[in-house]
Amino acid sequence: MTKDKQSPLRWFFSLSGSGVFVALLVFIALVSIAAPRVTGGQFFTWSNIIQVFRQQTYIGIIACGMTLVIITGNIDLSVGSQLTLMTVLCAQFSNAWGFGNWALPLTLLVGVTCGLTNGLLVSGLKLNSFITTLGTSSIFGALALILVSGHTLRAKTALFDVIGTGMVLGLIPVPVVILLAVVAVFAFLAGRTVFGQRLYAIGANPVAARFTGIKSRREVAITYVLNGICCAIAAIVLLARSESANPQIGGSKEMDVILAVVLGGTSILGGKGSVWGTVIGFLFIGFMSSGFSFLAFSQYTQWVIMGVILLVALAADLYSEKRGGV
Amino acid sequence: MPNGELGDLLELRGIEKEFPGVKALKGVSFTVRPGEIHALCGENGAGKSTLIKVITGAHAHNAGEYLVDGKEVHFSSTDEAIGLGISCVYQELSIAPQLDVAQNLYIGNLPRKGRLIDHKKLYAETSRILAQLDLDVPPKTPAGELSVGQQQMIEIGRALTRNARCIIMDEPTSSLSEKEADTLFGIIRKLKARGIAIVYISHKLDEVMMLSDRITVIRDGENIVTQDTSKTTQDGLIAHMIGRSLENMYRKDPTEIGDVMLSVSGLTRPGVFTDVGFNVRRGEVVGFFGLVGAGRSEIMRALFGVDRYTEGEVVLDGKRLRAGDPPGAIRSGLGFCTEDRKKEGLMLRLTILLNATLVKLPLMSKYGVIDRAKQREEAHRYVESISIKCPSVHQKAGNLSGGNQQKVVLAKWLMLAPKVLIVDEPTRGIDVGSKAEIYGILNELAKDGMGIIVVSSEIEEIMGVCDRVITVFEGRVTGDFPVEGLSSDRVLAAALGKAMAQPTGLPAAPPDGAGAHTEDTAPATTVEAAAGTPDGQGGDEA
Amino acid sequence: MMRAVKDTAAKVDAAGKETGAAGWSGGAQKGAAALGGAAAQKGFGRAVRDFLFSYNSAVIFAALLVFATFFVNKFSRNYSTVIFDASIYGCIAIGLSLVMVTGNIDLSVGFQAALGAVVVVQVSKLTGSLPLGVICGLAAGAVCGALNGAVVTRVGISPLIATIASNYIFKGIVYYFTKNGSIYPEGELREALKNSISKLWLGGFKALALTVVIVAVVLATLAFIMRNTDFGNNFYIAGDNAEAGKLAGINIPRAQFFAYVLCGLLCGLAGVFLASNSGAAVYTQGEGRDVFAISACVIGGIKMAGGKGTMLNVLIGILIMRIISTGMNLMLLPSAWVDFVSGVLLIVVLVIDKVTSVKTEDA
Repeated sequence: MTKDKQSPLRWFFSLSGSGVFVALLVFIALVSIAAPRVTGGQFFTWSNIIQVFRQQTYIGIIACGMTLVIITGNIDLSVGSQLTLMTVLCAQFSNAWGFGNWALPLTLLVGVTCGLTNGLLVSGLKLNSFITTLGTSSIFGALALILVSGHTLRAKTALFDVIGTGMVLGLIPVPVVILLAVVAVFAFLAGRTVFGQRLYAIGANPVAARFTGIKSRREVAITYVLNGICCAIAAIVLLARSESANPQIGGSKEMDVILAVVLGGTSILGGKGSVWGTVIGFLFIGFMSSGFSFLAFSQYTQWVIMGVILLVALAADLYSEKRGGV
Repeated sequence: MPNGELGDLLELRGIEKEFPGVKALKGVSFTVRPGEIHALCGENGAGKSTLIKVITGAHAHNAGEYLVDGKEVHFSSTDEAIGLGISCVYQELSIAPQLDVAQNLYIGNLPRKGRLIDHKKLYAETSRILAQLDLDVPPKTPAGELSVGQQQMIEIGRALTRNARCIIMDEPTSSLSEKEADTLFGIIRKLKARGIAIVYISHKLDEVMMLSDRITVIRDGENIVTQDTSKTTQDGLIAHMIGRSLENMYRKDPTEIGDVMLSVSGLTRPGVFTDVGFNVRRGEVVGFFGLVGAGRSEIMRALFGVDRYTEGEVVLDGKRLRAGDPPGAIRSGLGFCTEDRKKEGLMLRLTILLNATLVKLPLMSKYGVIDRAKQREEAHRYVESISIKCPSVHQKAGNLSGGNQQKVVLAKWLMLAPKVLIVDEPTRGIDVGSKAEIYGILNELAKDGMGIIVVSSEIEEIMGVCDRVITVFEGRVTGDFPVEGLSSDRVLAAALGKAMAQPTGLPAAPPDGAGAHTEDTAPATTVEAAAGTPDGQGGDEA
Repeated sequence: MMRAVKDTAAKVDAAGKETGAAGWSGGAQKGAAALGGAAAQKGFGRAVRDFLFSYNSAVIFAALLVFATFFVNKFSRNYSTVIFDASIYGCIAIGLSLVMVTGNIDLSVGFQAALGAVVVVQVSKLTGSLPLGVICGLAAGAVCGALNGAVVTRVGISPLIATIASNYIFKGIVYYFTKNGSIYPEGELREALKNSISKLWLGGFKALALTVVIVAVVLATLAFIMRNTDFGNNFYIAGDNAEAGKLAGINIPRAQFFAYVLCGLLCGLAGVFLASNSGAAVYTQGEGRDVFAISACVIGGIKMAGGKGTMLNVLIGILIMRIISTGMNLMLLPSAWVDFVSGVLLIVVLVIDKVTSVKTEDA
């Protein structure tokens, strides 16, 4: 009576981010054809693809953690500031305070601390996650500036060199490998573990989740901690690549991260989405960005188009949900 | 069929209303006279709410005539109906909690001076209306601070501000305490004295008999009868409403009842329930019966751990359950199908697969990683065994019908093979066919040795399905009776707090032919039916 | 009155919605009642605490003002700076508060203002007329607001994401014109721009600069509209219980739409002020303003969920933020401290709100 399989086409489109994926393929195809005529460059090359991945690395890493937070129906606006804070602290740890390679685990610890702060405030005190993380964003950003008094610092150990410039198998840069590893871990967490599935439950119906014996407070706090860890990893990678820490970097990175997550089909209301979708999301942004420069569009035009695409994607999502039921 | 008379306020003739796939109204006629209280009765799904929607203008009728003051109307919005004096107080209140009472009363209809809001008039008029409603609340109080009963008064007041000539009230006493209900009845009589007609929808036949001038019964989208209340008996009413034999609905096969599985004693939460104690044995189905607001669901929630209690002890299969610890309760073997499946029981956005396996997930995984094959297999097993109708387990739970949704909730708990399962209003809002299926499932579970607690407000359900009935009144257990030889009168009395029956020891052998008792008792459907008028009755606690 | 207070105190808020009013909307009577009834029943200490909790924003404001005046060097000479800066930065917060009251949010306010500034400069460069530039700047803001409003109310996209998207769009447009620097008109026009609005001080008082006067008028007008017209009142209904409003025949989507448009208009006004203040449209003018605006609103007492908050709340919130900023400047602390304190303050206010709403339950 019950079949387990749906028609393959239906299944494909029910995956989050599938629409965007198709749009991405179309875009890549178009640009590959147009680019040589416009600027004379080849778009769809291995080195270019790697370049895209490279540029999106730290956004991608954080987006994985953010996906889990958004699935539970919350949000974390402090990731940009966390990134800044940890980049700066990592540089300090490794250089000025002489911890050398111990800077890495220390930075991770800072990530856990920031995450715990957010987690305790949001899930423990049950405060609105939007405003709360807006507040912690200011706090973390301020800490970054205060602790470092504005100089830019360098990180100068061999390990950082490897992370920053090393290649795995001579083909893939280490940062990209780290990105892929993080993606794999988080995708696994979300899709295949009890913890992950419970996150969907919490996001879809927090009240009912209680009745299923789920300890929402704990799970939500963990998502924030994981997010903090992602920021820490991203900070390490960023520092390794740029060799210096600039307290001004954070900026509005949180919006870029959220953009990637939402483009990938994760619903801001919670209960729906996937890490793979997020991958498509940040790849889409990356390829767009790269493609536009191949087509000699200015960066600013990209932003405008990005915003428009996001609106279209959301509208399309709304429309399909209205037609397909829940 | 009633014929319209001159001077009728509202007259509906042969109204038909169709929705895709179902004909909700098949030619209903209904009249309302000025200043009368006209009750509308019928089971769930009989067509009452559709009829009301047509009257208030929320839906347009497909066929038939609708006359107001003798002139035909075709409402395209509720505003038009309100303009003609037809207002409705729905079951779900629409109160803006942070706005004050006056703002809520006059929402969308604020008195104006020119183009500006006339605050002076607003508060003066509000005071006047509050006085009419005997509502002693400062007009500037935020409406969210009022009790449910008071908020309902605000909604009635709202109708008055719109110069309502006919106010429809949909199950108005469902969330009210007895005192609040009394206040409401007083106001209704006052309104009647002012010439305002009331259409009173309720399944509480006692109230209907006491208040109304005429009663109309609807069944399956058709009129059955419209009578003067003075010429009606409750038995007759019930017969009209139900119109079929109930006996085959409830299956109660003989079950072997074993040792005590769940033992509750002295459970207390100040203001909610006091000194609650009872036992549930292996294979026994225990019913919890009482008025709305008696505290049954609160007791269950405390048992399960989502709410706390301050005193008392819960022991399941020899193990004491910690208060406020749902995961612990689940691990020890307690399951809980909640009252409101959409809000508390299911994640509508998620798949049937996930909804069904959500509680058992840790047991289907190793080190936190889910064994997908096992997950699918279990889900399929239960979908088959309790006949959940869906094309695929990957469908979203929100797309299922009410009955199938309830089955998913059941499956969720059955997978864990709990020792005791609590089901709270298991058949609310479900069609008759699925109801019977669910009773069958419960029956099978009891035969397999599961202890079951059924919380219900339908006395036939309780008497038809359970081995024992426990009554709750204002947070206290007032009766604990075996069903064999039990009359519904006794149950109803206990639920009203009248007689304090000693908790009887269980009979050594299960009752035979327990399903046949519906013949000898008056088939009163609800508590109030046997209680007579509520004046001065409630409140004496034994 | 006392009995009524006792009654209302005894009613448990079943819906669990926050009733602790961190502001003055209808609070006067409640405050008096709380004091009067509470004092008689619960003791003076508790009454004081209740009072403090109901008015936390005003209390914070008063406390900060006193502290700054007495403990911060030269602060008393800088009242006018506080007020002046408040008018320039505060415009955005005022617009945002309208959107928040209707239960929505707008994260693109910063760049709406920047866009306004850009339009002022560009149009005046192109046409040589400053007044025309100003008008177009205002119009640009209103158009941005209309875009947001349309996407949220007609298409139905969640305001959080919708305004993130529109933020990208506005940001892109702003940067397209300013690139990584700034744009400004040449020569005379530039002088005119610099000496307009923000430099027009009535009677030579900075505190009475034209910007301040305009904002004061706007505040007063909006306060009047919110309280005395259906149009404004509907904003509260939209935020408190949109369904109830719809059932009562109010056009809720339209109310929310106009909230966005007004917000955009006020952001455009802010853009005009910014352009006048700097004599140019600078690309950084958009950054960080949304955080300031949201913080000012929430700290002042506007509820995120909507349905509660007055112009007075916004005013207090803006002033609090500016006192902190100016005060810290004068204490020669780096600007990072301002962010730190405002972040902490934001969370503190949230916690107080949470605590006070729980308090209303134990009567």
